[in-house]
Amino acid sequence: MTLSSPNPAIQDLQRQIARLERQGAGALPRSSLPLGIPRIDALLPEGGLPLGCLHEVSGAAADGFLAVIAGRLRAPLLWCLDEEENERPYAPALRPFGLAPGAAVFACCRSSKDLLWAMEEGLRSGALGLVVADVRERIDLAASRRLQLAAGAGGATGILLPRRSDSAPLNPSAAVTRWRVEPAPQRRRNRPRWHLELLRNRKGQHGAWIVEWQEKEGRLALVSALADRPAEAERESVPA
Amino acid sequence: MRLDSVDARAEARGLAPGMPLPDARGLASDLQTFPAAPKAEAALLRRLARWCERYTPWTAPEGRDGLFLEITGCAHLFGGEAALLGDLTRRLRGFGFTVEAGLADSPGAAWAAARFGSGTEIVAPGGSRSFLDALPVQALRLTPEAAEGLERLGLRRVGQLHALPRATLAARFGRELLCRLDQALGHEAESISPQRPTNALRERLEPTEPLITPEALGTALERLLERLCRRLESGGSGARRLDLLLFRVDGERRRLTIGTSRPLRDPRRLRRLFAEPLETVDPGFGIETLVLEAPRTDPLTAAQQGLERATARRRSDELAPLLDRLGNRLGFSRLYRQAPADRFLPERAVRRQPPAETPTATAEAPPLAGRPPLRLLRRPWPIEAETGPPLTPPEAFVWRGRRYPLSAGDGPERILPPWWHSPNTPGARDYWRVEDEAGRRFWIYRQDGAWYLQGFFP
Repeated sequence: MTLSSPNPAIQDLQRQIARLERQGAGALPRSSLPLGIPRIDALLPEGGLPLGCLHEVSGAAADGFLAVIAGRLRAPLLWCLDEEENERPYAPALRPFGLAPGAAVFACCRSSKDLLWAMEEGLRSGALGLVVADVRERIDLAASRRLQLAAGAGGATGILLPRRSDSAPLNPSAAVTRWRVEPAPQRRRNRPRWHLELLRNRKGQHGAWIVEWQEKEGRLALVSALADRPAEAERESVPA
Repeated sequence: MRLDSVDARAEARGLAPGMPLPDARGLASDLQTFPAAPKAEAALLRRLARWCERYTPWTAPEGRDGLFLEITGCAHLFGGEAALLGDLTRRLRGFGFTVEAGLADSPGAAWAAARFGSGTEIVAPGGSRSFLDALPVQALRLTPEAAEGLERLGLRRVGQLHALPRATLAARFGRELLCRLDQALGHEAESISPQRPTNALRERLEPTEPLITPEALGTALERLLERLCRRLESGGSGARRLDLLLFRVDGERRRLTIGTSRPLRDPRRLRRLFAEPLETVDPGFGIETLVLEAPRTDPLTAAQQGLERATARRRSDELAPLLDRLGNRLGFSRLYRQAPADRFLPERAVRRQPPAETPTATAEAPPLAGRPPLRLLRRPWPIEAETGPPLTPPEAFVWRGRRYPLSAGDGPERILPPWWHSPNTPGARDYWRVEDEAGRRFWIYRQDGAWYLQGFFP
């Protein structure tokens, strides 16, 4: 983790917070999933997307980034859906990302309460590697904290996909990282490009990039660091 | 207006069902009347029949004021026939009902025993004939016309009928009279249709004291589950559904149902599935009887350790408890995998598969040359497209009031609906992958001149 404060007292406090957080998340050893792009992985704690905790991916191309993660993780997946959601995941499309369509179990939930419950059960069970939820309603901090604790206890990774039309990030939330993925014009067929933004990274820095999914190589590649967009306060590279 | 039914006190004053209301008022000026509610009565009778399932699974309402209980093989659980009958009438009277009960070898004789007997009449095995002989012919469940016809001939007692040739009786009074007579004597089989399919896999527990605390209920349930699971094991099966019936002291009955994604006979795991529904139980003044049934079972052989695919099996074993928990709350039909189906239309190319089944592993290529989109609309959405020259993608489309100017497109790819199913099958779909100026990628198609949006690429 990045400890950039020169003040030893603050460093000490940061260490304490980190220890408390680790306790809250259970005693399981944390591991991480490298995204395969050194520049992004370097920003993430332990060199990749931390596993066994909660993340949030919003934006119009969030599904794509999720599919990349699921494909790299190659673990049984539970996808909690909202019954009202008109846009349903289509499992055959996971295959190009390296995930067998049958690996995903879908749970269609009638209410937001059921959805959160199903996600928590899935995270806690220890039988899954990844639990995804299409979130249509606002989730409060307490609920996201519950999910974070469940993820820690079961060792599964949770990903919230906010499905609201404005695709605003859920706020506040206990998610360890928050990403926004918007589509970018693609140059070659079947090589989708995305604006990938790391909006929140509790243990490191933020950033924005343009990435490309290269199916044949089965990898996510960096096209360019996003230098031509105005840096907002939230996007600046400051420790969280 | 006529009287539909009367209580004991009204009967004592000379009132009877069927009497015109003015006559009745003449006999008893302080008569209290209520409109008859046949539907509510029938519903009450059905509820009472279900309540009687505490004695036997085989109960059915009879007529508009009777209940049949098939207690073969059940009486010993209550300390004998007399004890069962005593318990039954005592409890029903406790609810405020007027009860006449009878017990005999055949439904017909039991019917007569209840209506013409002492109130808790038990006809000894084989004693139906001598018991019936002394009773009026109405005891044979005859239509009023048939009974009247017999009486006109001076045939008042059942015993008198035996003296007459059967052919004469049949010719005069129809086949029904003989049928009823034979049924009462047990010469002709008569079946009682239970309200619900009966089930041999059934365990009953009657605690010494009514149970009030959730802990006590849980312990009782554990004992039932252990007994049931032992029986499931000896039968080589596992439960797919379990019903727990809870009978409250005040006559209320609750049914808790759980399902499992795979046959299961592990008492501890079944107990966990009951945890949530059990929380919703209001024990009131206590629960005096618990009945556990397994209405649906599937074969379950002892787990076999295979060398290959051992990891896959272990993983699905780990998943099963989670699927059970999710299924019981969300509904098992809402839990599925998407298995490939042999269809061309994208929305039909997958079918829902119960998640407990091993995922179908297919090596087949996806039916589409390119890549399907990650999200499909539940049904294709009509859009308005601004088309350019033929065989080029549209220049823009309007979806939900918003215009999406398109910058690129790939296609068309033609998919034919299954025209061999019906002559009215819509025409071919020409699919385009299009990209708007912001880079959003859509899957649209043109069918019979109209445009539709079907999915979204990441």
